[in-house]
This record gives sequence, structure tokens and C-alpha cells, in this order.
Amino acid sequence: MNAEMQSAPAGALVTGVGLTAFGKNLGKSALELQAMAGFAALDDAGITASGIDTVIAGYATTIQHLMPANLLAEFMGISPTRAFGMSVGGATGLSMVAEATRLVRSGEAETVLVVGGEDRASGQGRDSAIATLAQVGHPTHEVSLGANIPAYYALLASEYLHRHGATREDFAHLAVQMRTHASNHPGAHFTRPTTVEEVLTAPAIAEPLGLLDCCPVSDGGAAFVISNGVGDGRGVRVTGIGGANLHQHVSEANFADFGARESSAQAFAEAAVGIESIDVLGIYDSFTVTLAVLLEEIGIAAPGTAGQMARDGAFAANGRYPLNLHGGLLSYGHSGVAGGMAHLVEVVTQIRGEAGTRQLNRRPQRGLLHADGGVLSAHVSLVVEATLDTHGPATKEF
Amino acid sequence: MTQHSDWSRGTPRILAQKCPRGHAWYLSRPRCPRCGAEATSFEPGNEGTVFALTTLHRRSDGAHEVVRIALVDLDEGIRLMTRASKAVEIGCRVVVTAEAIGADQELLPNSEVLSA
Repeated sequence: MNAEMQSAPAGALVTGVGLTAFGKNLGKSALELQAMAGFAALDDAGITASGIDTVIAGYATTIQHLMPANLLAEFMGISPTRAFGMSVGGATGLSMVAEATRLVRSGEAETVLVVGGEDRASGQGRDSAIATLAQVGHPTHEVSLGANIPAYYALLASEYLHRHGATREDFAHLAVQMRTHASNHPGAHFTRPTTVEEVLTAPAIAEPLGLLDCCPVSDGGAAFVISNGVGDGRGVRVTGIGGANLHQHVSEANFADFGARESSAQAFAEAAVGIESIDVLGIYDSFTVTLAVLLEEIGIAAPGTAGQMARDGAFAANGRYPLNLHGGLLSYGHSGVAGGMAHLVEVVTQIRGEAGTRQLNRRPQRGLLHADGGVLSAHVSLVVEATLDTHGPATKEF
Repeated sequence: MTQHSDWSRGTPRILAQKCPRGHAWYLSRPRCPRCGAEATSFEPGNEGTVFALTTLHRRSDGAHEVVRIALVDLDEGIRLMTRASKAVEIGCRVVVTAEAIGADQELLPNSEVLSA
């Protein structure tokens, strides 16, 4: 590291991204999916395994290994100074990026590999996956009543609709928009466009949520390289980090303040920008109601209006806030930790101008990411920015 | 921590907790989550209002029985998760009791519409 960088650290950049296709029966184990994504991120960053000093890996429900990062490091041929796992539910992916950023900013680490991946769809039965995930609920006072993740979020949805006088159609617009985005991504779990009518008439899962209000269970992997290099212009800087953890169980949640407001406000404050300066969004969308609540707590949509904004095109590629352009968890798919990382892969790819047929006409300069784990329990927000002034026409360098 | 038995341990009653400073909550802990004072268990009044409600078609245990699950705000300010009978709607007044319900006759908290 030269003297100039020591006196004025470059901060932490996302210098590599890796993302597998999501879907069912990809024919890979969780560890293989993690390694696929990990090597893709190394290749993208132009480095090899020997250049990694830190490995952070997310939990995988199909492995449940005590040392996920060590397991992956050995598999990939990496001998890092530090390796550790993280487990914050759906917030794990962005939380790993946040901690990698802090390690790099502090100078403790130079190059961090962050990985999530799981054969969540094919490595276990669907009921087994649902039962495993239900354990974010209270074992005796929630799970024993038969409740599961869709039920917890359906409780949120029922209260949301009641409080705002909204309807299931409001939620449906969000599901339709995510599918429209996914139809442009060959790696998405679901690519066939859908309609409000299809969402409303899909089988009920946990009323008021139907099948198409819920993300699928997918196989897939995602990875990032976070480093202190100044990069070649493809690096995307992490300029703001926020978090909030106000409850674990839905029984104890404050429905007027789940935590996304505080988390995103911290990220905006550190980045010294407001929502008006954000060009592209990656917001966790495990269920339609998740997306509605997060968009409203962050301040992107007024209370009760997220669905109407979706209907009016605000989250389309040509809208004010292009949202989850890969299709989100609802349509690109949800393979656990990697599911919550795919949003950042897409935002980085868009900021680089490398999104191919999905590339926004005006290449975005700055993105906001937000994820939650549990039942809107754990929150993490990131603001990421281009390292070069990328405003202007997108250059197709893919 | 006082170990009283509630419905989850086979006694057909609902227990909550409180601290000497007047804070009250449902999920059992050794200390008050707000002020850290010592917690004691008590049996709260059983009337309340339905805050949130779902009819669940796919269960975590793979069971096919459709069940209704509610979050109920007891009048003493304690929120708890219960099963709910068919007539219960969001916002309605209910009475919550621990009783043997459902196909398996499990002992669970259940909400019925409070008759006037």
C-alpha cells in the first residue's frame, strides 16, 4: 500500500461480483454453488484465490456446518488470515458486505471474499425448507401454533391492508413488476410475465398472501470481492452502511417501526445523500408485503402507496426508482443468503453499465440496498456509488 | 426466574410476565426487556382485540388442516399469538383461552368472538 492511500484511504469497493442462475435442480451442492459464485467473483475482479485475505460465508440450511467459511475456503483453495460465518437470516448477505467493508476501511483486511449459496430447493423437501425457516419464530409460543414464515408475513399483510384500507391488488402490482424485470434475465427462476389477475387468483398460501405474493425456494449462489483497490472504474464504492435490530419475533414487533427507517437513515447519513439522490434500488422482497413495508419505511413510498407506485410504473426500468431489475426474490428467486445478495449484484452491474439488455438507458450513479432477516427483524442498508462519473449514455461493454 | 406452567407445558392457562415498574410482556424471559428488572409471571385478563389475522393453508409441520392464526392485543397491553375461530375478524373483540383445539386436540391459546 503506498503512502497516499494510507493518508487518504480509498475506502471499500465492490470489485468483483458473481451470480449463478437461480432455479430448481441445478445439479450442484450448496458448496459447489458457493464455489461457482465465488470463482466468478474472483474472475470478475481479476484476482486469484491467493489474493484473498478474508473469507466470509453465509449459513446454508442444507449444510448447517459449524464453520461455513473455512469449509468454503478449503474447497476453493484459499488460505485466508480470517474466515468466519454469518447468520442473520435474509439480512446475512448485505451484513457480510457491511462487515467486509468495515474490515477493509479499517485496514485490517485488503481483499475480502463474501459468499452465499445453497441448494435450498433441491437439497431438501419443500415442507422441510418451510419448517426450517419457521424456526425464526418462537418455538413454543408461535411455531407450535402451526405458524411459519408465510404466516408471519401474512399477519403483517393483514394489518397493513386493514390500516391503509389497501387491497390485495396493491400487493399484486409489486409481484407483476418483479416478474416483468425477471423476464429480461436469463438466470431468473421465473421468467414468464404474469398479471394482476393471475396474482389475485393464485392459490392461497397464508391469507391475504397467495402463491405469487411469495418468493419461490431456489437453488443458487452469489459472491462479492470487497477490496481497497482504487480499481479501474468498474469498482463500486460502499459509501453508507446502516442497521437496526428491534425485535426477533413477530409477536414483539412494533408494526409502526420495524427498523428499516433507522437503518436506511444511517446509510444515507454516512453517504451524505438522501433518497432523492438514489438512481436504482435493490430492496428485499421475500413477499409482496415485505417490499411494500420496506419501501414505505425507507421513505421511497408514502404509507400505503407502494403498490400504487408500482402500478404507475415508478419501479419499472424507465421509472423514477428502477427496483430489483433482476426480478428480486419474488422472481429471480430465493436461495437463502444468495437470494439477498443478487440485488447488489444487479445494482453493481447496472452502475458499471454491464447489464446488457437490462441496462438502464441512463447509467445509474448511486444505488440503495436494503435487506431484512427474520420477520422484518434484522435490517441492513447500503448506499453504493460509482467510482467514476458514469452519468451519460450507458456503454455496452459486456 | 419463576417457573410457572402455562399451556405450552400442559396447564390450560395463559401466562404473561411483568416487572415491578409496571412493564408487561408475553414471551418468557429472566428479566424485563425494557428496564432489566426481575420478571414475575402472572395470569392476564383474557379479553382483547384482534390486531392481525391470517388463514394459513400450508403448515410448517406439513399438516393439511387449514388453521387461523391471530395476533391479539389483550386489554392489559400484552400481544400474543393465538389460534382463532372462523367468526373472528381483524379488529374484533375476542376472549382468549387455552383449550384443546383442532384435529389433534392440542392445548393452544385460541380466540373466540366476545359475545356482547
